[in-house]
Amino acid sequence: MMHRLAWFGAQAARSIGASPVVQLVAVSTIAVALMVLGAVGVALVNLDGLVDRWRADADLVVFPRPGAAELPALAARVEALDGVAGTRTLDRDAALADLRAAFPDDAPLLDGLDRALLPAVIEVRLAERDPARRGPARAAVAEALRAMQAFEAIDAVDDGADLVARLERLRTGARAGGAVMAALALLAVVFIISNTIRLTLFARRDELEIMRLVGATDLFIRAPCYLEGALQGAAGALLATGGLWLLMRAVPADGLLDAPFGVEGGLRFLPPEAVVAGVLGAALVGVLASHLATGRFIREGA
Amino acid sequence: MIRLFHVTKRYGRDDLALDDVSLRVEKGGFAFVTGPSGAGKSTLLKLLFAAERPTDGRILVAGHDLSRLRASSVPILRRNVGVVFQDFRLLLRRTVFDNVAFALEVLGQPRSRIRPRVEAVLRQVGLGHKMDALPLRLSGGEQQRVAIARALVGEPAVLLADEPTGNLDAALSRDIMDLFTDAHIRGTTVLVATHDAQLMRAVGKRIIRLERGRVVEDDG
Ligand SMILES: Nc1ncnc2c1ncn2[C@@H]1O[C@H](COP(=O)(O)OP(=O)(O)OP(=O)(O)O)[C@@H](O)[C@H]1O
Ligand SMILES: [Mg+2]
Repeated sequence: MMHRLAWFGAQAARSIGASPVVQLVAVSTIAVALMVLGAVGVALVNLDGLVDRWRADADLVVFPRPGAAELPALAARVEALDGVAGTRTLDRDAALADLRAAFPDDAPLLDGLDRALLPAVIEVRLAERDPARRGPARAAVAEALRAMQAFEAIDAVDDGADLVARLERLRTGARAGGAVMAALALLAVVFIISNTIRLTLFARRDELEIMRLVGATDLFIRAPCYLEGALQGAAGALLATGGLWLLMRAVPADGLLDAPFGVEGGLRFLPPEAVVAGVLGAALVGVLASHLATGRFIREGA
Repeated sequence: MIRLFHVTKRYGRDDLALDDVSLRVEKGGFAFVTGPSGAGKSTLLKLLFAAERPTDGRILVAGHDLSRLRASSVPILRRNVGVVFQDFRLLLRRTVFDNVAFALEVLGQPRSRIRPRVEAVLRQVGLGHKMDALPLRLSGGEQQRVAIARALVGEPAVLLADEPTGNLDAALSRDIMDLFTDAHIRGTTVLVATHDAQLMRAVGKRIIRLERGRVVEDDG
């Protein structure tokens, strides 16, 4: 058993060593395809994080009726509601200061802003911290606020549902797009590896002819190719991971997306288990591609 | 060991390479197959190691019914049938030793078993002193010895050779033929296709003559 594995390994090493340039081109091309796939993965991971955070953190916002005088009193009544942890009242000046902080580069623009257009708001912080239970809690508070609307100076209540729904749709679309990209990338990898294996088979054709002649089974023809394909896939995936990581470090992540959509602490990289799964998956795809290439070869040969 | 019953082989529609051939070579027998170019000698040998399938008739080789042989059983047959060609078919980047060892490696045999067997068979064909040479460093006769060693290393029951001396002069041809008679004496069933009438006379064994795909003479 061990000597067979050793022989398969030696055969694979021999054929890789016999055409290093072809191997290098193949692995780099695979890496590029997988990097595109990885980039899609990174986008999805971060979009996921964004949606989850919005779900978790989007506080409700109460818009008092214009000209409402007693904002602190209104805020106190809102604060008294079940499920509300606290409020923060932003009058027009505070709102403008907030905007300035969020968009420091657009200060001249904000200077010209008609202050009357900036409504005062009361931000509401929910008591519920558990992300899983925040949705229902928020809905309950929003309902209570809307009930207050009838007899309080409340113009509108924004519970963030609109934004979350839009992000949700964006995420669904991105996932579908990601699946299509993934399929294309995998197809490209299968294509590259099976063609490289075909080149290998062609380069080894005199050996393979002798193998057939002396009664070697298909396994002995195929196994070194499986190994070669798996190595190509895994090497391509590792290269893609490294490349993507370097690329993400090179991009100034903080400036990538502005507040309030900004991603705290920069973009998140793929989780380690996704990287491991990707490398193993690529190796498996390599085996599959080799199987296809050798299958064709074995059917064609006598 | 080898039996053909009314075997016909057509390539394509009307290219009749073998026409109703029946013959029998006993276990441990030795026979030449001869005849003019295009008579069907190579075709006959190809049928015997399942490189081609008969269009009609039955073939038995070393206990295998080749007309019913599944593709997955072809390797099992070939471990029992050594084949030698006119053009040697050696792996030029591998040494003499590795060329012969390769035939056992690809059957999954362990190195410890391969080395002594390869050394023994190379000494048997008179190449004990050239094991580390590359094939192109050898004479034609020596290259054919390597090919014969490769065919014999797995101790096949049957040895087939298609014009094994076609590229060699008369003296070398005799030396090569001695290797075949040697294998025959050790119990291997040997079938050699050749044009060389002088050689056949010198060896003095059974001769099967083909013409246009039919057996026209058989002194066995
Ligand atoms: N692969 C093939 N496809 C089509 N026809 C073939 C093929 N191989 C052989 N033939 C035909 O079958 C006939 C017998 O050929 P074969 O090679 O068996 O003859 P041979 O006796 O070995 O000749 P030679 O002495 O020249 O080697 C010839 O007419 C040849 O053209
Ligand atoms: Mg011939």
